[in-house]
Amino acid sequence: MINSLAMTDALLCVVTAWGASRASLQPALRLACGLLAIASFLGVLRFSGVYPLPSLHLFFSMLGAISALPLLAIAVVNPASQVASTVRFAWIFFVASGAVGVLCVSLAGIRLVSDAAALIAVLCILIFSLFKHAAISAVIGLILLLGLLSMALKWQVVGFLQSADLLHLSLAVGIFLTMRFSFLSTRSNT
Amino acid sequence: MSPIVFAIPVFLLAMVLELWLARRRGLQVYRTADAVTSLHLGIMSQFVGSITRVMALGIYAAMVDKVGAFTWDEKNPATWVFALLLYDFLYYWYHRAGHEVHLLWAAHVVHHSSEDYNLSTALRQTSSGFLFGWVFYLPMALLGIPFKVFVIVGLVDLLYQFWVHTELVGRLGWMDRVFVTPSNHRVHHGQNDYCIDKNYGGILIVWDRLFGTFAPEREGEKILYGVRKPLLSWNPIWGNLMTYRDILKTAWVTKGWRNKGMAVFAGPGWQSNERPQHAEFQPERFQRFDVSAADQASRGLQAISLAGMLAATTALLYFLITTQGMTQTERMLYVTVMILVLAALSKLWKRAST
Repeated sequence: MINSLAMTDALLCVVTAWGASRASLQPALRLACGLLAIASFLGVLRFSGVYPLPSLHLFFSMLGAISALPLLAIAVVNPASQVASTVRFAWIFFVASGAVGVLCVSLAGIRLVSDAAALIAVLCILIFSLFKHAAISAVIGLILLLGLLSMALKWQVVGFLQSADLLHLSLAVGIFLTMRFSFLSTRSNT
Repeated sequence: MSPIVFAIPVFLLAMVLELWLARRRGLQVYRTADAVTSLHLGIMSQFVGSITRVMALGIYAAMVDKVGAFTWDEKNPATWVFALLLYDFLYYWYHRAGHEVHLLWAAHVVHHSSEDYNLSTALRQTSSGFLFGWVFYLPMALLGIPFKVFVIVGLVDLLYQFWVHTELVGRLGWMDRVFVTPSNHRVHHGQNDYCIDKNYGGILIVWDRLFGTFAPEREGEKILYGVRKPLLSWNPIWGNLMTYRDILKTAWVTKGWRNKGMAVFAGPGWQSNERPQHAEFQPERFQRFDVSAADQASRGLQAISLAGMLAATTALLYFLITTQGMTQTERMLYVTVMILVLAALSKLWKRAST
């Protein structure tokens, strides 16, 4: 049987690791990619059975929801902001949101906080894009929203793909498009 | 029992030794009001820490339990060496953030508020570090470094930093290149232009060399200690709250959300258009905050101040020894009373100088 979770996590890992290594991307986008790369790498280790560290994978997935997706949203919605465009403020945002995640989700067990953060981030991308008539980012928002919904509602579109696979795939496609979109906007600015 | 109980007499003896050595060399490195204030702040941080430490250490312990990825052999020396190196590395970033992010600077500024540089300055510690410090050490919890190892290497890192707060030890050759030494750390406490945001290391100065924040001490340029927005008070409560109040005030009057955010998260040097605070630093015009000449001459006042400080130290030792047997309410009451006593003792100088 195909280990779909390991494979889709591996795909996400490749896309995000590539994004994290691109010096031309915005710091917020690179940091978001880096966080998701770690989470998906731990997912590969976990689901392939090579070196399962499930609690660490869950922890970084939580950081992905509470820090990486909001960073991604900020990079798309307001690329000129301090958080999106400076390493310093991207890290401050990450540390602050990560601290909230540790306190609320890891320690207090309120998972709703990370779920809500991810959903709000994705909705921000979508709504902003619709208002601005930005087709590419609207598509990105929609893909990410479908991924989150598939996870929340446990959708299974194709027999061998689980709902988490759809989340991994939507994140991979969404982030890939965001990077392309970011390249386009960088080129058009220069 | 807290190891601090054993460290306190050693600290006090070391300060007496430093004072004696300085006198023999004809140097004046201590001023009573400043040193007593440093000790008051240290005593207060221990009292407050006895309550708040539960939070920071509790978070660490819980995170090791929930997320800790690996198991470590506590009997293996390599575990301890690795943990100490990692702790020192994380301390570097915590310390650096403490200088370069205004909100974190508000917690750390207390330690830099002395305009003298002696062993008492090492004890001038914050009481609000628990609010943010724990975040920076989470990577150790994620790796599963055992709680006991974390606490002990943290203590080693902290205790190491005591001896570097002195003007009596000069350059130390190769040690200055690898370790944090008095020479390196004097630069860190200076407010001269070349000293700002330099030498953040705890034990190893190597981190500063790696991340571009190292500056060697300059021959022939006298270091002026302290901060560019001076505390101007002997009150330990005010010492801990002043910068928080400043940030709140600036954020409140500053226009625009972006600028309000900058007031909180930018570096301490960031200027608000609505509330500019920093005049250009002019070393030649710098004057240390001090008590009046009459107070300096008053042996009685100095004796009372020292006696008060020693009584507070004794009360701290008693508290640390007996705290296990106290209820939380008793503990809170004791701590509250002692903070008020320390604030009252600081009024000795203020009243005498006005």
